[in-house]
Parts: sequence; structure tokens; C-alpha cells
Amino acid sequence: MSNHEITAHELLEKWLDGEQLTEAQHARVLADPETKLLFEKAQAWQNMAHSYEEQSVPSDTPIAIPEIKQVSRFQGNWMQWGMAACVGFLSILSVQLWQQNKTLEQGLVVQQTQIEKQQDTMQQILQQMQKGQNLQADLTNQVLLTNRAERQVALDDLLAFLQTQRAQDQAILRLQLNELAEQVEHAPTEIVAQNGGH
Amino acid sequence: MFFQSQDKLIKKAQQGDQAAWLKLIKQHEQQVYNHCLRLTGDCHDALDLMQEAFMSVYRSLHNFHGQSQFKTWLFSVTQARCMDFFRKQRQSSPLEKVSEAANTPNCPVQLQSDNQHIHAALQALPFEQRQIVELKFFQHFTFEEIAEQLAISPNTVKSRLYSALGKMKAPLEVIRVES
Repeated sequence: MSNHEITAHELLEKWLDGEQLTEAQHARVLADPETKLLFEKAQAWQNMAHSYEEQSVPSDTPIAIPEIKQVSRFQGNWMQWGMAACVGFLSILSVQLWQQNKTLEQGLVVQQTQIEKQQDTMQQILQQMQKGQNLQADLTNQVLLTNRAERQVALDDLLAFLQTQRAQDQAILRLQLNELAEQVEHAPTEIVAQNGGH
Repeated sequence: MFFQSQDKLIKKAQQGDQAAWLKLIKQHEQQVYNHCLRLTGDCHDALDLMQEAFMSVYRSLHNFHGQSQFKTWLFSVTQARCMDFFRKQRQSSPLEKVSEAANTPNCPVQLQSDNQHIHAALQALPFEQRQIVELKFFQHFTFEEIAEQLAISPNTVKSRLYSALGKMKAPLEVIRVES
């Protein structure tokens, strides 16, 4: 079906590109006067090309192969040296990079250990400070407790003293009252009457 | 080890193997020489062009990565050298060139009458059309391949070929009558 869509010109182009045409296609090409003419001319050219006797390259004429050889040797050597130089440069570069990496790694390890040590010492200092603070807190507590205890003792003493004082005062007053009572009992009656008359 | 594939030869030549390069030349020199001979009509010019083409190919051999067939690439390089040659030739006197070509003493083309007719028919064409006829009927390249080699569109190739076929009417008829 698709053959019907292809024009005679396209069929000719296909044939010129080396494709085999069917008899129907061939007939279509020949049916068109323009393509027929082109086809015949092209066919004639093909026959001519087929009948052409290929000439051998004259051997007596020197071809510039030595020149090519020189170029090839130079280029080959140049390429080899270039490649070798590149490989050498890259290997040196990689070794240098590796060494740099190694020194950097070593430096990093040293720095890391130093930082760890510093962290340890800082922690120790912090722990010591904490201990000192705890001690201070304990001391203040103890001071407060002793103060409180001392105050309590002083108050107790004061109370005891006051009680003894009071007791003593009461005793003195009782004695004085007793003396007065005795004086009253042994005093003459006129004095008592006089006192009573007043 | 007597036969080596073309790819291997190319790889070896790219690595600087002179023997491989010479083998490559031997494989293609006749094709290239005859191609140049049909385009120029002169064996000395053909030899010069062939040599220039192979030199160019060798110089740019490292650029060939097998993206097209080696023959296609070789012929595209040869085409470029041929175009340079004809550009230079146009600047010089054409009469001088014709007389030189006619007096070539060791030119084997002169000895074969059939070839002479073909050469005459080809030389009657303008260079651009001669190139297309040569590549199409003698080298059997497709339109696409010719377009790739000459860095032109396939349609330009076709139109040049049809123009050439139109112009070749008289010489063809002569040859057909003779044959």
C-alpha cells in the first residue's frame, strides 16, 4: 500500500542509493518520462563505472612515506612522552595530596586529643568548683546550725537565770514577809492598838 | 596474522605503528588514486592529491573514533584536498593546465580508450557535479554519505546529480553507441 504513496522520483532516488526495485516499481520509474530519462542516464553511468579499468598507483613515483614516517615517529614519541609526563605528574600530585592528607589527618588527631585533654581538665576544674561550692554550702549550714544551737542555749540559760532570780526574789520576799509577821506578832499591844486606831 | 581487521589497523596506526599505517595506505591507495585521477584527469595531480590526502588523514588520525566508516572519513578528507586543489587551479590559467595534462608522459590513463571517454565525460562537468557523479557511481556512496562528506544537504547532492545527468547527455550517448 505504501508503494502507491512513493513517487517515481523517490523510487529513482532509492534505486540510486543502492536499493533493489521490484518490477512494478521499475515500471513506475519508466512510466514517468522525466524519471525514465534520469534512470537511463544513471544506468549508463553505472555501466561506465563498471567498465572503468582501475589504474594502479604508479610505483616508480615516490610517495612521501618517509615524511609520514618522520611525522609518525615524532608524533608517537611526543604522545608517549606526553602521556608519560602526564602520568608522572599525576602520580606526584596524588602522592603529594596523599601526604598532605596524612599530615592534615595527623594534625587533626593531635588537635582532637588536645581538645579532649582540655575538656577533661575543664571538667575536673568544674568538679572541683562544684566540690568547693558543696563544701561552702555545708559550712554555712553548719554555721547556721551552731548559731541556732548557741542561741537556743543562751535563751535557755537566760530563762533559767530569770527563773532563779525570780525564785530568789520570791524567797527574799517570803523571808521579809515572815520577819514582818514575826515582828507583828511580837510587837506590844498599844502599838498594835495604835496602829489599829489609825 | 596475515589478515588484520581495518579497525585493528586503524588503532595500531593511531598508536604510531608505521607498518599498520602502511597497510592502511595499501588498502586504500588505489581507490583514492583513481578517485583523484577521475576528478583531475591527470595522474601527477592525482598522485599529489593522494599524497596530500593521506598526509592529512595521518595528521588527523587521532580524531577518528569510528563514528563513520573509515572509507567515508578518508574520502571526506580527500574531497577537502580536491576542493583546495580546484580552488587553486581556478586562480591559475586553465589553458596552461590543459596543455600540461595533455603532455603527461607516464600517464597510464592515456593508454585505455574506454577510460579516456569516461575521463572526457567527467572533465566536461563542473567540479561540484563531477564530485557527485564520482562519489555516486564510482564509489557507490549513498546521498546521505555524500552529503556528510561534502558538508552539504542531501537535497543539494541530488540536485547536483540530476544537473550532471542532464549535462552528460551527449558523451553518454557516444559511449553507449560505441559499446
